[in-house]
Amino acid sequence: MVNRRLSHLSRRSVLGAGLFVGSSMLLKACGQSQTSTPAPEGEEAAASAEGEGGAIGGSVSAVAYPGIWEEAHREVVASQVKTNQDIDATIVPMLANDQVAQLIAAPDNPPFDVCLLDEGPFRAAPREDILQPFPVDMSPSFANLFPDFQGGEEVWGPTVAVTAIGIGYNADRYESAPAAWEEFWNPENAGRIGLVTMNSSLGTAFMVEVAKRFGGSEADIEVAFERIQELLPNVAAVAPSPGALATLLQQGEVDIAPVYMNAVLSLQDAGLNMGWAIPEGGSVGIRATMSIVKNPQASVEAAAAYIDTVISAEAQNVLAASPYFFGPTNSEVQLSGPFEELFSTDPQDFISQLIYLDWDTINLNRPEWIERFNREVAV
Amino acid sequence: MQAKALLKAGRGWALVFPLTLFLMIFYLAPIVLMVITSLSQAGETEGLSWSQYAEFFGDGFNLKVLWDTVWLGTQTTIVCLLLGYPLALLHSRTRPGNWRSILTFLIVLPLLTSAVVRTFAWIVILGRQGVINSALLSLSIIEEPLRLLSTHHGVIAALSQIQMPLMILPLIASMARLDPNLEAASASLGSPAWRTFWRITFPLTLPGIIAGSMLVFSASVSSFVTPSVIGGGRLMFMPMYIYQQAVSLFNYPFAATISTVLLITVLAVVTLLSSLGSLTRSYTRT
Repeated sequence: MVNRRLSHLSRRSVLGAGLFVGSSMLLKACGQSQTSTPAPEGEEAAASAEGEGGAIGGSVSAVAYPGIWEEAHREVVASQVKTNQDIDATIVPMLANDQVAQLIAAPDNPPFDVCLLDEGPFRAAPREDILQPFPVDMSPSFANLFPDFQGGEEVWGPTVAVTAIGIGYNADRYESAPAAWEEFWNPENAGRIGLVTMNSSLGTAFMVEVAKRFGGSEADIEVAFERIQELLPNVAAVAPSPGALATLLQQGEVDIAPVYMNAVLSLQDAGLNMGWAIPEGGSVGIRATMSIVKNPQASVEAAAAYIDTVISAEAQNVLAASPYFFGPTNSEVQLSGPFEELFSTDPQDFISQLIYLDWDTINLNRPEWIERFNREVAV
Repeated sequence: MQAKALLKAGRGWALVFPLTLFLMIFYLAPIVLMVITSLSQAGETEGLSWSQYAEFFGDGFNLKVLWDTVWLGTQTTIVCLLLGYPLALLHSRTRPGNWRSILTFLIVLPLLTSAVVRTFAWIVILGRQGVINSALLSLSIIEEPLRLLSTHHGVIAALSQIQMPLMILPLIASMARLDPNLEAASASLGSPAWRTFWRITFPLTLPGIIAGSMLVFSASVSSFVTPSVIGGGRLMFMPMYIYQQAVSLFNYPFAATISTVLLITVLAVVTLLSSLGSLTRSYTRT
């Protein structure tokens, strides 16, 4: 049956199908080359930048972490940069380490123009090889950033958001908020604990904080490993990424876990009965930095305008509110809602209440710690 | 005559040339590069060496990850075969028509949604407050929710459902080639149904079983999303291990080594299965 039908295929139909496939691929390739056409460079770009208040135009592709970051940057930043500067922004969802890997693999032809890295990967990456210094003079909002968030002397790029790490919990199961990281070792929580691997900043920061609570430091987290061994029988799940951990909390698979504040607040916002508590001793702040890569496809003007939008008070006022809840880095932002309840309306108070870790020290041992953690939690 | 045949063969080769070129550049070359990377040494040392492989096989953790992965693939293949074979048989026994079309549609249906979506659906099914646990709890069969997520068995359940079409489709193809007269002859000669099945149907559909097993096995041991989402961070399989070494730790030589080991393992299993296939061909001919 099948054979007979096959032999009926005429030369004409085969040729026709071939032509169809070939031409559609060609069309697709044309479309792609069009979208990846670099934004006006040189004279044209300079001319448009010179025009007082004139829009920059062109396009830029910028990374955001998958999930809430991607959504926020697509909905808020991309639309603002389109309205204000007529720049078409494409948001590429990608984790920090993946970005560094891709930039190292193709430094001459990077797959995106603006990268987003949090402290650990940022401090560990070969910055001189993959990033270019941030053109401060192209960014009117840069001066409004808190001094600590202006990227130090090297200025590879500004800190665009601070996310706080604390204890996320299922409010149906807890009458009052868990007070400290030590609560994880409370026998009442057996079988309800969620953790995340040390591959993420969240997992690493949690382990360092545990170490500090039990006498260790950024340089030595041996005590945290010992404590985790004790905890393992009571752990319900070890998530491979912070996003997966938030899903487990949302699904009721785990009832208590170290999580980012904005992950829990957006679940709350969606109607789930979740809580987030600042642990005793303070909440760790993770600073996320945006930089322009070396050899970008987009013009530096467009890339800088994109980053400038992310750090503008206009964008950060929206990003710090429902449903995104990103910690601001621009001093002109007004905080409200959960930020007001947990911290203050003044962003200065928010950022000064957070603890910042010494990632340069952490990075010295981080690869070994990641491997060790994965081995020790493996069943 | 011979020259003509040669010319004919030459024309055949010319036609596959574009594909050959494509595969050489985008498939063979990266694999060769990967193998070379796996033979390079960590750090700045020049030259090729087996040190990465010695490291891999010298560490019990790595061997366990390899074994867990192969075992996962084997179990998934067996589950797919046991559940898929009856369905394929039913499909081939259904007269062509509406019912058969519906069956075909149902069998192919999982392929029409992405593996990621199907994986997340399994979280809803296997979760502590998921479909299975709530059903068992409400029937008072269990008192505490069972742990199904983040377990080896949970991964097998999800993977089996996701890879099932890869098993069933080759089975259906091999059953379509089965001459129904052979079964009728066996029955008319007095064979009970089970003997007809074991002596006639099963051996003649072995090529389908082997083809399906190869597909399911290689797809399972190399799947990434399902084992990491359903299995979580405590179950380590080769694909996740490769990702971690390459992307989190930037240890490309070792990642290449693990990849090469996985590739060779899959090739070995596929070769084993296809040699079984040639055995059955000689069996069906006699």
